[in-house]
Amino acid sequence: MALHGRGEAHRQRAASAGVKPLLSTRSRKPGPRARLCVFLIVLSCAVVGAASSPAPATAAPLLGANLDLTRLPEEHRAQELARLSAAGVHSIRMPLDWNRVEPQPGRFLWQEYDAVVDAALGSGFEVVLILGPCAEWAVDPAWHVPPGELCCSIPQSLDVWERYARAAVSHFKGRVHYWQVRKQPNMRNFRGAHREYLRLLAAAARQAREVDPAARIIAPEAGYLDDAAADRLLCSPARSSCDVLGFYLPADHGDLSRVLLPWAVLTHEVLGQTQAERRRSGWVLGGEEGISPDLWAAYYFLAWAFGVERCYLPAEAVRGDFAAAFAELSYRGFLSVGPELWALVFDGATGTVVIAWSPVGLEVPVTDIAPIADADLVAEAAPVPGGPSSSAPEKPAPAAPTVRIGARPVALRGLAIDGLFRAGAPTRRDVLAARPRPNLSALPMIYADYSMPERPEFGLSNRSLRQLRGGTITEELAQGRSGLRTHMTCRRGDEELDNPWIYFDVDDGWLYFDRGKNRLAITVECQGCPLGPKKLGFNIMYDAVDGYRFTRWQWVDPGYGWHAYRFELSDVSFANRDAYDFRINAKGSKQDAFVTAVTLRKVPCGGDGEGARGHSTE
Amino acid sequence: MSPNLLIWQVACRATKGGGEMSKIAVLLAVFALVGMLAALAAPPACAAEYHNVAGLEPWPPESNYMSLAGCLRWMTFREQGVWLSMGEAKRIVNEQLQQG
Repeated sequence: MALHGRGEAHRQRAASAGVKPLLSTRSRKPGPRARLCVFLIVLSCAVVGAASSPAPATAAPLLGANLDLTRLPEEHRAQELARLSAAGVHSIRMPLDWNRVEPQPGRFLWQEYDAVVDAALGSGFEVVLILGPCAEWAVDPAWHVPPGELCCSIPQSLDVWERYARAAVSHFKGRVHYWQVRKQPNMRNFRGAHREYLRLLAAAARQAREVDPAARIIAPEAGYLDDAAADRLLCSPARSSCDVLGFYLPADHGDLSRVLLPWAVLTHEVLGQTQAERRRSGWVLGGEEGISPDLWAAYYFLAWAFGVERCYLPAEAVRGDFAAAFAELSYRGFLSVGPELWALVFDGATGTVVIAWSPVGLEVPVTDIAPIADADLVAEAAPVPGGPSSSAPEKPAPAAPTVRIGARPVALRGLAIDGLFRAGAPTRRDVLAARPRPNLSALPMIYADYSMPERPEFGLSNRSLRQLRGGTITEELAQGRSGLRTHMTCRRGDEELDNPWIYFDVDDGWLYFDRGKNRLAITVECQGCPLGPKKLGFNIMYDAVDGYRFTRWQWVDPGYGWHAYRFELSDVSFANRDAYDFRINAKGSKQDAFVTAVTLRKVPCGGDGEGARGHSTE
Repeated sequence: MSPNLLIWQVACRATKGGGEMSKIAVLLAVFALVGMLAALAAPPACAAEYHNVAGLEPWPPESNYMSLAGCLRWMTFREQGVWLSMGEAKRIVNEQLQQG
C-alpha cells in the first residue's frame, strides 16, 4: 500500500524486506460523489454491524500450489519446492496421470510418481493427487473420440477405472490422504454426461475407502463458482462419495462483484444447507487462466472471509511470503464488498488490520474508511506481499493521510473500526445490498421491452450478452416498433453467422438460485410470420433445477401482426450459468424471429404447470 | 517453453538461414500467433455440462430437424466450437434419457 507523506520511507521499507512491486497500480482522484459513496457504504455497514452479533474469528486458509512436479526438470525441483515452502505453501496438488501410471492394462509404473511425491513429502508438503485423465487404451474405439481428446473421455468399463483407483490409493497409502476425482468435469475436460461423472466419483470413493479408510475424496465442481452444479452434486446420491467440494474461480473480467454472489450463496446456502453439509469442506482448487497475481491475492482474502479451508493457486502465482505474512491474522468481518471498494477486517497480534483493494483505483482520506485510532500505525501501515505501488507520488504529510487503494490488496492499521464492520462472511443479502442498483426483489415483474426507448431493459437484459456464441442479434425497427432480430443461416462454413439465440440475464436481486421455489411466467411478444403457418417458431432454453431445460416448441401465428406467447415454468433456478439465465431459441424456423418484448412475472403457486399459451395482440 | 514460443524461435532461426524453410517457418509462426489471438478473443465459455436434450422431440423443428444426438452435437459445436463424435453424443443422450 502507499500512504502519502511517508511514501519514500514506505518504499524503502518494502525494498529492504525484499518485496518488489509486480504491477503499477491504476489510480484516479475520485470526485465528491465517489467519496460520498465510500462514506455511505461504510456508514451502512456500521448500522448493520452495530446490530449484528460477533462471529467467531476465522483462521487463514491453508495455501496450496497446483504444480505437476513430473513436468518440472529434476534439477529445478528442489529449488521450486524451497521457494514454495518459503512462501507458506502447505500442500502440492497434481494429477496422477493414468496414461503414465498404467500405460498398458494391468501394468503399473510408479517410479516417476514415487520420486516426486517423496520429494514433496521430504520438503514438508502434503500431496493431493488427482485421479485422471482417462487412459487412452480404456476408451471405447467405437465412440470415435478424436485422438487428442481421448484423455477427456471416460473409460469404457468401470472395472478398469476401479482397478486404477484402487491401485493408486493402495500404492500411496500413508503418503497421500486426499484424492481428487478428475479435474473440473465440464464440457472441455469431460466428454461425458453428468451421471457418468457421478459413477466415476462413486466408484473411486468406494475403492479408495476400502483400501484406506483415512482417504478423503475431493469432488470438483464443474463450472466456475456454479451454485446450481454444486447444489446438484450435493443433492445427488453421490454426495456421500465426496468429503470436500472443490471449486474454481473465474477471471473477473473487470467485475469482481459477479463472483461474490455465487460465492456467498455457495457458502451459506449450498454448503451450509444442512448440518452434514456444514461439516463438508470447501476448497478453492484453482481458477481460470488469466487471473492476475493481484486478483489471486484478492481471491485469497475472499476465500478466507468465506471460511474456505484451503486455497490452491497456480505455483507461478505464489509470490514472496504470501501466506506466511498473514499467519497470525484471523478474519472478523467486512467493511465493504465492492463494487468500488473492498475492505475486509482481520484481527492481528498488534490490533485490527483492514485489507482493502479497489478494482477502479481510489485515492481517499483514511478517515473516509474509518476514524483513526493510532496515527502512527496508519502512517506505517504494512504492505501486503508484492509491495506497494512504486508509482505512489511523494506528498507532504497531510493532517488526515490519504490512502491510495488499487487492485493490489493493501493492509491498513491503526483504524478505529470497532462496531463499524459487519461480522462474518457476506451473505446474499449483504451482496445484493452492496450493488449500486435499485432493489427489485419486491416487484412482481421485470421486462425487456425495446419499444420503450427511455428504459428498454428493466431487470432483464440482453444487450450485455450479445457477444455470446450464437447470440449476435440486432436491434431493429419493424412496423413502428423496435425489437430484437435473430440472424440465422444454414450454410456450411458460416456457423459464426448463425445466430438463432436471444440470451437474457435476470436481475440477481429479483431472482437468483431459488431452487424452483418461484413459479415464473415468461411472456414473449413477437412479430407474426408472413411466410405462413409453421414457418417460424421458438422455444425457451432455461436454467432449471436439474440443468438446462427446454420448453415446448411454440409456432408463431402467421401474418404481420404482433403476438404474445406465455410460458409458465415451475422449475427455474437461474444462477447465471455461462453468464445467462435463459435464451429464446428460434433455430428450426424458416424465418428470423423478431421479438419486441419479454416479460417475466412471479406467479402464485397452483398454476397448470409448464406450457405455452399464445394469444394475439393484433 | 510453450509450443507457440518454440515455433516462433524456430521461425526466427530459419529466417536467418533464408530459403524455402524460412517461409514455412514464418507461416507456422503466423498461424500460431493467429491461433493464440483467436483463443484470446473467444468469448468466455465455461459451460459446466452438456445440455439436456432429453426434453426435446427428435426430428421436428425444435431439435432443428435432427436426431437428439445430432442436436446435441450441433449445440455443443455452436457453443463450444468442439464436435462430439456421434458415438459419444448417442451415449450422452442415452444417459440423459435414462435420467428422465
